[in-house]
Amino acid sequence: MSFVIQCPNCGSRSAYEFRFGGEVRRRPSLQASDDEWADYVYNRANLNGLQQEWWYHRDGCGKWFMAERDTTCNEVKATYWIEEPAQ
Amino acid sequence: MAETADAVVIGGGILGVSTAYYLGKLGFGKIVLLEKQTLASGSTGKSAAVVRSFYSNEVCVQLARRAVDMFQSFNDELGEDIGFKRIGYMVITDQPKTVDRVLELHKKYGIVSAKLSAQEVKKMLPHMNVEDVVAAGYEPDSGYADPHLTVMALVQKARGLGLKTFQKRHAERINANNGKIISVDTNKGPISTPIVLNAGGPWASQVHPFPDIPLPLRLSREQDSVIEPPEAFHNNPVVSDAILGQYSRSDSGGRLLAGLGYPKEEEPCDPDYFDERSDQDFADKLAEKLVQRFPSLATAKFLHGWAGMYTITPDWHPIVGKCPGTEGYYLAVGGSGHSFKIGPPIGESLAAMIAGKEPPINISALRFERFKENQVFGSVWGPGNRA
Repeated sequence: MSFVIQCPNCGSRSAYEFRFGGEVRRRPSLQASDDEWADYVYNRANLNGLQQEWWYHRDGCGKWFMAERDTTCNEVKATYWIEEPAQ
Repeated sequence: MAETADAVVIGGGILGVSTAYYLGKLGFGKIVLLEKQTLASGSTGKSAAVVRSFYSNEVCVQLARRAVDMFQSFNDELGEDIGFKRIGYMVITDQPKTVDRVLELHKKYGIVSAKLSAQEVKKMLPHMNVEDVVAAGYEPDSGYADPHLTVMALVQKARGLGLKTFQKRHAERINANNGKIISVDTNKGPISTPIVLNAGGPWASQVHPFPDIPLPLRLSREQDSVIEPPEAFHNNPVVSDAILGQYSRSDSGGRLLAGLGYPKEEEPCDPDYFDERSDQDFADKLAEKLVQRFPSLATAKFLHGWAGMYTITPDWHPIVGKCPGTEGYYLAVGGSGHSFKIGPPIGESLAAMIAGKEPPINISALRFERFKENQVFGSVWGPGNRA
């Protein structure tokens, strides 16, 4: 099973060209409690299934984008620039 | 006649093998261990196998304390050399408070350790650049083991206690009836059993039989490299550099094993098809940090490198114990890059739990339910395998 990611700029490329930026999380407000911040910094959801993630095309166009990856099989279902909503 | 067992252990890594060994020691009955490839061929064999007790939470400090004792006595107990080298462990930091917190726990559990100033570090390791180091924690009794030899020695001894191990035999399906384990289908026939331990590491999710209770595990490719340093490094302790995010330890033959540390750059991977070689990008990044810390490494030779896998849980601590809502199904998964050393003591306590006995260390803090109950682990170091 190959692990391929569709860069919105460069097209389908091997995942080794990319840097993973982790699951998309909402940063707490500055007024948030310590517990909320600790959760944001320390913990991850580790979803089984479709997860929204940050990726960076390190060996390509050098741009950050978002991807929706099925974490159980590494199939990337959609990729898009940060501004665009998921398809 | 159909094959039967009192317990089937899935996974021939440190967690599966340790639990099988201690189950054998408890005289638990007929135990079968299934290994998909070969023993210690997954994350365990690729581990830097550092054995240290520098942890910032109670349960890991207790486990690590017991681990150091175990690794020091395994040569005698198991009758085989497991390659344990007591070279000491040092963490250097610019946040001295993190050291204080760990040393407090060490004091409570009788672990020998000390806080060192930058000058004291310089005296011990004159070849280290200490200009940004504010303090260090040091444990003389720690070191590293050979992960492959450790697994083989445990298996060898466990076989004498009745363990049956199969390599190139994997679980295809765990069968349960209303949450109660009944059997395991393998590529070489089914095995009836009331108890299954899933210690499948990166493959644990593939055989997990309860889709309604998904395992919160993510995988990341993780690299290590071996270099040939000048002679001054031959007796280097493990140096965990919390400032630059790298670590190194001396290895056999005067070599130095090194890797990148916290914060980890994660790299999702497919456990069946990932690049097991290390790459240039990694070597460049590591070299930059290593030379900044040890300037005389600028001329050192890069010998080789490899990549293994981390199986990471949401809070970077393993999941150990009975899977909630099921019967006879146990988990020892999600080592999160720091569970080689605590593997044997985890196996010891988990074996006791499976056998219905009082575990030597209360490991309930590692239970699966902690994520639901919001009783997760934090770490003074932040998220990562330094924990």
